[in-house]
Amino acid sequence: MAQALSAPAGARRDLGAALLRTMIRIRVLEEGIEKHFLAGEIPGFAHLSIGQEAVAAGTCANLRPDDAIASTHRGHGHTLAKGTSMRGMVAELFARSTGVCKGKGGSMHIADFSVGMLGANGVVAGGFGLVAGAALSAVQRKTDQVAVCFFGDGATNRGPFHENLNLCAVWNLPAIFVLENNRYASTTSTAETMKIADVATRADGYGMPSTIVDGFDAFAVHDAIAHAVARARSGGGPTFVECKTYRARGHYIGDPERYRQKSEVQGVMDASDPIVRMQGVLGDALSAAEFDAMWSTAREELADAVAFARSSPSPERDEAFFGAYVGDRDARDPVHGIETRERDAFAPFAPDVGPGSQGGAH
Amino acid sequence: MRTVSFSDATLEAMREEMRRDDTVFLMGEDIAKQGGIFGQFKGLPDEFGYDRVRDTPISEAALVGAGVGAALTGCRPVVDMHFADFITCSMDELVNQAAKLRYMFGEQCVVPMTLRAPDGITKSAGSQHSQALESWFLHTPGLEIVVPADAEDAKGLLKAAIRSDNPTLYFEHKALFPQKGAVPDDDDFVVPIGKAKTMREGRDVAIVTYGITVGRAMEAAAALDADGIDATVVNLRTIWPLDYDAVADAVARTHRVVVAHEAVRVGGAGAEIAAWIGEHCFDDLDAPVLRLGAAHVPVPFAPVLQEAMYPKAPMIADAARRLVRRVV
Amino acid sequence: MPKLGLTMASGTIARWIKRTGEAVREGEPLLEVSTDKISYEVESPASGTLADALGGEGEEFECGAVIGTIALADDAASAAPARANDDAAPARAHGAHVSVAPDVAGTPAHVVEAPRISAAGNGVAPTPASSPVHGAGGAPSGAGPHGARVVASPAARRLARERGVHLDGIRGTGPRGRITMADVPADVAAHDRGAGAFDVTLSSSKGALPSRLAPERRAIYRKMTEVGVLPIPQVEHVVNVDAVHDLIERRGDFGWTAFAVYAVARILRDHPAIRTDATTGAPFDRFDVGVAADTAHGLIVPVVRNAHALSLAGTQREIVRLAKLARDGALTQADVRAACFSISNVGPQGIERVAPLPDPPQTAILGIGAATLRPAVVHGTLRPAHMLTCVLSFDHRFVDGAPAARFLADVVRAFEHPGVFL
Repeated sequence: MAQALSAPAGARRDLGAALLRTMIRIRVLEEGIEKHFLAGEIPGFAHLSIGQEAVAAGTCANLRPDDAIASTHRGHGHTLAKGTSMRGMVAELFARSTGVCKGKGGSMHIADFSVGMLGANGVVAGGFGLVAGAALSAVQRKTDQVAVCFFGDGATNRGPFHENLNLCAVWNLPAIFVLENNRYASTTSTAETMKIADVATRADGYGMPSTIVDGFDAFAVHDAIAHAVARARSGGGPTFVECKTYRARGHYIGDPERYRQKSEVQGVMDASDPIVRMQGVLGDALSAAEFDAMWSTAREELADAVAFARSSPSPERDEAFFGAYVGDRDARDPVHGIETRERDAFAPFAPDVGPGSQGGAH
Repeated sequence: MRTVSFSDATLEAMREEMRRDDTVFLMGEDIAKQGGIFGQFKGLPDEFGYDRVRDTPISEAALVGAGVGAALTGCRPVVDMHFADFITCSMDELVNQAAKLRYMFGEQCVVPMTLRAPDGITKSAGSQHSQALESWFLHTPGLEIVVPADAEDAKGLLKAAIRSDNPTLYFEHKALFPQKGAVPDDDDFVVPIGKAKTMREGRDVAIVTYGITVGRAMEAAAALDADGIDATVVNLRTIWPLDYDAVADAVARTHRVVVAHEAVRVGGAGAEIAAWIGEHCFDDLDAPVLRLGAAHVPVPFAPVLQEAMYPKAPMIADAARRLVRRVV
Repeated sequence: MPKLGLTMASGTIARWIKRTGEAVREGEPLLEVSTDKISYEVESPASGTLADALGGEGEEFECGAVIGTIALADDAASAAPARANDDAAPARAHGAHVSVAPDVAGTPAHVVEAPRISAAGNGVAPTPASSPVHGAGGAPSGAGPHGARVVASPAARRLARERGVHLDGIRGTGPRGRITMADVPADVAAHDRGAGAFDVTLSSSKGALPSRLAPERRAIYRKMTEVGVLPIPQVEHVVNVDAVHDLIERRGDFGWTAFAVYAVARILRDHPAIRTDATTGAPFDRFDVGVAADTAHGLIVPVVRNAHALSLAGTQREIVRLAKLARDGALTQADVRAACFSISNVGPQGIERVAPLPDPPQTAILGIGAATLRPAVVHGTLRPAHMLTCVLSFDHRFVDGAPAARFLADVVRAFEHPGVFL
């Protein structure tokens, strides 16, 4: 319940309002996904980022559409903050052909290359290489694009974390590593899985500059990232930004959360809900009406997205067999013939799976 | 046509493609300063600079992962694995990322990465430096796989792999690097991915093969000529997408087939081909389909042991003879 | 090597009268065979050229072994030239065959199917017209131990289909007797009509055939001469078949022959001796039942395949189908060969009893007559009932009286109580 000493004004106030709007949109989306998942309208798994909104909002506010981000299985907030439409996201989760990935990716593999979102990754630490590559690509093509990798504390114990931080540091690549340290990797706390309290010290081991910020404070995240982006765009190399944050929900929707106490969760959110924080910081600079309007607009946006998703068709069954190879929809391509024959072999046996018939709690 | 070594043929391909397209760059371990342990990258940094020809730390996961990331964002990286055996250190990046991103993201992106992997048995390199792993990736939807058999294949397939918008694995047998062969002069010469080449046509028996085993099959065919047995030899060139039509034609012409490769026989690419022949060419078969491949053991170090456990020309010829003489 | 006497097991080639490459005429002396008892002059069974005199003079062969091949006059050497690699095929020993030499004519030796014969008419029961006389030598080519399955490569099967040639009776020279493409003759004329190469296995008596004997009777003439010396006793029973009669009237979808085939096919399962294969001495492991048919073209015995698996109505349909083919002269070799048991029914002629002869290599045959009203004792009182006479003839070399009687008893029970089977 931090209070600003004095309400921000001018551009800073506008920035704060924009950050708040993004966080509220993320919150509304995530709560909506939770509700629709439990109602059985979303197949597969879903991992909510409620409580972590400030990191997504604060980071993406610094990025251009042609800057790249790589996200994680807990990526709805990053995706929305980077500029993907709620309609495209909800339709994807509802497994419709109008989803951003045509229904082939789902929550864990949601992507939007039109806004530089290189995909949520179902493999923990899967994004490091992609971001190192995107940063390397900018150097090869001589642009000032940057690449941002979102990841959690669990990913920092995997090999690719170390290999890619080292590579980006030694090659001086325009990459920014944004750690959402929410203290738990699935069901294991950071205290159980590493000897250090601040993961940012690992960046020291690779000679990479780092900073640690309060991940509930959208302004703090924004400012730290702004600094890192400036460094990267000017050829100064990579930065490691550790955001101390927390997730208010379980690892996945349906997680019984045996690894932490409800009182802990409640306590953290009471003290640190990033939306409440920003509202407090903006103080009088944000009227109640404006605040309420942010919520109602977000809810309308969600309702529209859900209606859009529900009325969208499921993908055509034949779509299962195409799309793995460039050219595979072209009759002259060798792969096309192979995939067509497979489609034909399966055609008589496909079961009926309609919309909404899958997706119980996991 | 000119005669060049396999290794020089790959070098020509790299040079031509890097000149043609600025977004093509090369990275791997021990390639820029050393020029590759077989000399296959000699001179490239001098022409293109050390930014486009990069030595990496020993970080295969980062190497391949960054290759994928660069491919996603407008470049055409060529990633060199040094030894194919080290692909194991980057399996997630290849199998879960490179092979799947286009499909699972609903075709929003392309992964035009080429992964070069020197493979195969030679010079007592031992079990961790001698493998042929193409069948793992045949089993992984989303990857293209090419295996050159000679200098012409080496150059033409590498150019095709680099130009392909799909992630392409290029398995080059280490023992082939010094082997000389004819290549066309045209620097736009490309061997198309997915088409086999019939090296010789005969009516008595077909040997369907790829990579270094093509040369061994041709040796076998010469020995069979002396026995009055005329063999067809099919050089598949591409493992995926497989040229099933070329296989079917060979079976229809000869009615007797040996499928041979240096990779382990059990679960090898030959198993897919043999099963397919049984399903689709059944009525053309006058005998069972025979498969040859390495024994199901790691490759041993001692030369006498190493040479004992994978198929060479005499074994291929013997299999062909047994088919023709209706012993099997 | 012909079986020239009841107890003859083997013979020695004393002298080839004709040489390889020489033309021969049917009935001309071909070679001299001697046994421990006597010498015989063996006549050529066909006209053509002696293509292979496989057995050498002084060599002994078991009866039934192939000792030579005759290429027929109309069988020009038009088959595919020998493949250069054939000489490496391992020698296949059938009986006392010698190693296979490169196949000059390209047409491998194979067993002839005897042509259809004309109607008997002399009270001797008709027998299946066309089973090959293998003798004790080797199993039919390409087939399993009981002739059950033809082993052929897929390409050979397709080639045979394309050429209209039947795989039955082709000798396979591939591994384990597999029929391969090289074994499939060039055309159907060479194989299917009984023209083509003959094995010299049919016996000849010393005298010439009766000079005015119709050509189509030659095979049965020779066969009956052989069978005539075999020990063929009979067991017989007159059965009250009122129940079957009523069933036929009520259902209308089967006849007497169908019922007999249906019942016998199932009963044979429990009586392996009755279905002994005389070539091996072991039971046939299949249930293909021959049914004698009298047609305008003469007697013929088509075979109901896998009769044990057909329903009663299905059996009737199959018999009707085969009868139509028989009337139209459209039965093929495949339709008339290799039964394990046969049935002869003289009921349609209104005759009450027939005692047929088994057709080797079958070892038994069932004759049934017309179901006529005759006096019968039912529950102690005399009254008319439909009675049918069953006669089981059997080859006593393989089947004794008591097992024969037990088989017939089961057949009788089936006729008396048809409900057991339905």
